[in-house]
Amino acid sequence: MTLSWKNALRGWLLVAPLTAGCLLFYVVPFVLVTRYSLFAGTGSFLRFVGLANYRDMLQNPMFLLAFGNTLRFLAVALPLVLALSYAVALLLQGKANRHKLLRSVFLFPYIMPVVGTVLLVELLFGEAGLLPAAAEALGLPLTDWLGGPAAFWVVLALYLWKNTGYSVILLLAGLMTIPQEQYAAAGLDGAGPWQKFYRITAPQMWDSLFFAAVFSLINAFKCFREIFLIGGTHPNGSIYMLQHFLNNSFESLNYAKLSVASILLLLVVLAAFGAFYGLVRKKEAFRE
Amino acid sequence: MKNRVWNKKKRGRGALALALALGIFALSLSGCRANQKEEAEIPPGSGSSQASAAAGAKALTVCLDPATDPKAFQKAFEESAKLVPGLQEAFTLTVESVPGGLEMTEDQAGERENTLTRLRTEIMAGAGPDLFFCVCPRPRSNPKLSALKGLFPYPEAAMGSGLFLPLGDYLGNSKKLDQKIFLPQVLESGKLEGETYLLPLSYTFGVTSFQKGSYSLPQDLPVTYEQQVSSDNTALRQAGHTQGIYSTFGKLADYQKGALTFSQEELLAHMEAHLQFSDVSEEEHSDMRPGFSIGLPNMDPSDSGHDFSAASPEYAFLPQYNTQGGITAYITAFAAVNRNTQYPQEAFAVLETLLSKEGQQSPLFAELYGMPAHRELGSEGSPARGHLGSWYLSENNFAELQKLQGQINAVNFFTPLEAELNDLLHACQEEALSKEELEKQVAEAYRALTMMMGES
Repeated sequence: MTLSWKNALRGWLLVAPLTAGCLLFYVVPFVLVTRYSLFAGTGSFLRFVGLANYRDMLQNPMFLLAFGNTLRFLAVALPLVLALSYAVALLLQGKANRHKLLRSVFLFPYIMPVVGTVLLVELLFGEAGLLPAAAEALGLPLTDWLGGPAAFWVVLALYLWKNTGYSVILLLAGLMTIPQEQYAAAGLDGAGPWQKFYRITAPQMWDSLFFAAVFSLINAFKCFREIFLIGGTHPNGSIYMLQHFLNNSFESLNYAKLSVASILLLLVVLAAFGAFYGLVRKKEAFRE
Repeated sequence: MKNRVWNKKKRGRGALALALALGIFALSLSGCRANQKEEAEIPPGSGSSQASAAAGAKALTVCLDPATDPKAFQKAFEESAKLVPGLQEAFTLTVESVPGGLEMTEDQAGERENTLTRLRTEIMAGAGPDLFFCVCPRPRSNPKLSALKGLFPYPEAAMGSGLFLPLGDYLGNSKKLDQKIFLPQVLESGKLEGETYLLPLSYTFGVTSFQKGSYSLPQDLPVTYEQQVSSDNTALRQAGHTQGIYSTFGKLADYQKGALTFSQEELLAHMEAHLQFSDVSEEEHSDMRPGFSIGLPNMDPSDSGHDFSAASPEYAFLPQYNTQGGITAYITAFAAVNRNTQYPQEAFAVLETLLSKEGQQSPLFAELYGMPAHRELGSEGSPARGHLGSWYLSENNFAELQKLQGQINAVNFFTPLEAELNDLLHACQEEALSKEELEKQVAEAYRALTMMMGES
């Protein structure tokens, strides 16, 4: 065996446990879920039904509601959290090294326990909460913040409060890799703040932005925990998410339904992030 | 020389790193240990010994989901299973009980959830118990009690998911079990597109009883629910509020279409009619026994103190009618065979025995709620089984009950839909609500019901 073969073999052996774990706990379940979505029945009585499960699911009003709510939440929350955290990171750029404690403070909402967060939401927005009490005292119309359509905006605000700090840290790390000399040189050439951002900062931040977007997406799905504790298994229609549908459908042992819902969500997320990734690769092409 | 030493060091470090990685991986897998399931094998019946259990006997697993005291239910099942021929010789039965019931603690609730998740995962994987004996959790009478969901929360929807073995051929060839022993409507509830998947063990419906002759009843019974609650006849009107709200719609849901059979407006109308009931005083009609479900425990004097047997007066029973002018019955327990069982014949042999007349007079049926599925049981000649022995209805009372059985035009299983409707009624009865508040409560409940249908 040549040295390169030996090195390659050694490398493969070292990653073998992790690869086996990934295959066993990610790839194989994914293949099984895809299979279940195209079949009906269980065990050795699975029968191929093609896209019939997908057709049924796309006619299920509760799935459409849950799917629509989830996409609406992602479409509103992700751009907002990225824009907000980008703005905060830009404000902190250049000052972060001097105020290291500030960076830790941004993570406090993120690390707050879920139950504590929900208690806070109940304290502010619950029937006996501060906001309804204030509205009543001021003679303003009462809103059912957690049981009505306004629940969507409460959950959105909760998500932004909880996750902006985390994205700030990620984007700040990206900003700190940009050499300050570039800004200095641009300043000497008479560039204003907008030009510095557009010509220097933005082109070098696409990778960090993509990274922050991926984590924001993961955190958006984690928001289900708070929504579940606030609204229960069947909350108001505006915050009835895909995880509610999947969670409740599991109890009904309708596995084809579960599989189809998961695959459809994956396809949409893959399409959106695939397009975003393509854009990032195009923007970052100057580095190659 | 230096390079050789360096390469040796590199190889050594590589080997150490590999050994460490494999060790960590092996340690993480050791955490994947199967849970210790609480299982019990049915001991040999009298007259046989363990030694007579044939080597290589087929091992069947039975899952019990009692929704009450699991220990008492399991004990009763094991006692009843001794009637099954071939047990311990041709096959053995291992019983697994799902823990928890209506008054379970938080620990028990967690344990129940874990057991149900494991069972559902096994069933999904094409494994799981061979037989299921499931009690459909009744809607709780006290909102403080835990809301309970069974292993199959929506049995009718589960039939369409390919989880159960079709039993039509087995029933047709059975020498022990004649389908005619079941009420046709009750047996039909376990069928989907003409094929039988579930066998009902017990059923019930709500009635009000009063002594014959103390009231005159309208001649044109049955009537619809709307006619019943607006009738001039106080006995008939009172009987209309027997079971709560969920029995008044007939079939609650069409699981094939995934839709409820009633609209939000209809639900609001029924709620308003139900909440207006307050005009019949108890002093005026003290001989009337309103709002109880037929069968166990209400008709067993040892459980309820009320005696409907030979010594009792002649009663008339007035049911709560539904919107189609008939009675809505509820399956309170059912049995089924796992589609993926390796021993379908043996599994059906267990069902066949336990659902025969003798089987339905065994201790298992003392633990069930309602009437046994066998239509003769409960009469003086064919008593049913209670906790302290047999119970039966007098000839007159049994005949009255049989008259009502003929009026059953809808059969449901107790599901979370009924629980939601029951909780809605309790919530609205607790305090006087304005029309807007009632509409809001009804809208929220209807939304939850629609979601449940989409998920079933």
